[in-house]
Amino acid sequence: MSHFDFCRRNIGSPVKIVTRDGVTHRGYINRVNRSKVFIEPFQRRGLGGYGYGFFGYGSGLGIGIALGAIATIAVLPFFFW
Amino acid sequence: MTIHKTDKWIKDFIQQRKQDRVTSTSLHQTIICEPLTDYFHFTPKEVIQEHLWQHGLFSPKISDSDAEKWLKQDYLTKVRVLYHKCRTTWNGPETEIFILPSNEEIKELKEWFNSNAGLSFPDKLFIFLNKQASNREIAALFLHEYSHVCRLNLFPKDEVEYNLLDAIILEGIAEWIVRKKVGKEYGNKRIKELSDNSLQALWKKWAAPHLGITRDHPKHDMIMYGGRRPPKNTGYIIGYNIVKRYMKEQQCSIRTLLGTPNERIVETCSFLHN
Repeated sequence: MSHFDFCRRNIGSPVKIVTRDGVTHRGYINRVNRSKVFIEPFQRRGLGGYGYGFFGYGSGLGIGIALGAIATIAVLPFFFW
Repeated sequence: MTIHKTDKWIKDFIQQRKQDRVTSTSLHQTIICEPLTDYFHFTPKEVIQEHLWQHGLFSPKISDSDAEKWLKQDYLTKVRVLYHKCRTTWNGPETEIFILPSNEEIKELKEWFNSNAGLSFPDKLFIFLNKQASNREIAALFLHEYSHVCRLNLFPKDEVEYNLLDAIILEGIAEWIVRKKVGKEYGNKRIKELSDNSLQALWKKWAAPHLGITRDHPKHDMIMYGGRRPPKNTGYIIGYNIVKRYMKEQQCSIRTLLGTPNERIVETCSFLHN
């Protein structure tokens, strides 16, 4: 399965991505296009408060990672974060 | 000032945007978010904008006609009546209230919350309403959010120390109040009534091992808001079902419930620990 297909099937899931330069990224897959996947860091609370959830509008697409730069990508099981 | 004149902010935003559509995002920052910086310890306006967007605040692309329809509803007056009623009955604190349009373009918000959302802090609350919210929808949202303000004010600790159990019971109380006072069909639509066995299973799997984690831990929001695993709004579902059992047994007033410690509410469900 291509990285694109993998990311598309796992939008919203927590993942660990290791890029070819050895850097590890952890976060939720926010969106993906043919060249990049955007992940949102786990710590999203920002200014705090109690609301109904995160609805993702805004400029904060998260960190963009080029699909070609990905060495490994895996969905993180809840108990192994 | 308690209910801020946000209707004037919206009018100003629409008026000024007519002259220059290109800068609508920065106008939104200046007119809507800059006045809020005083209430967020002088956090930059763009950070406030991003945070409120994520919780359902309207986008700078809102149409003129939608904004005008929203203004015609006179939500500020309706919320003022609810606020005075709740404050007296629950002996609640004075708080800063900001009422603004919601982002009706967000699919999840529309499908599950009818494009109404809110955000509460110990000293302020935000109400994001769609352009044609019914009186009961407004009441449901306001009661939910103001119950948070009341309970948070009674917490004997700082915001950074709030943990998962605090959130589960806080949301459970809010959802129970909405169903009791406004109607069973209002509130978070993902909340279902659970059997003792199902509640115990959810509690043991998702809540019990993590009760003490604070809000900055990534699992906190996953359990409260959810994704694929755990299911969406698991924390809300657990909280509502626990509070419902507690209130069936205690039959106390909402005012008393708002000040009841978490542990006492959870104790009612002794089967959780079997």
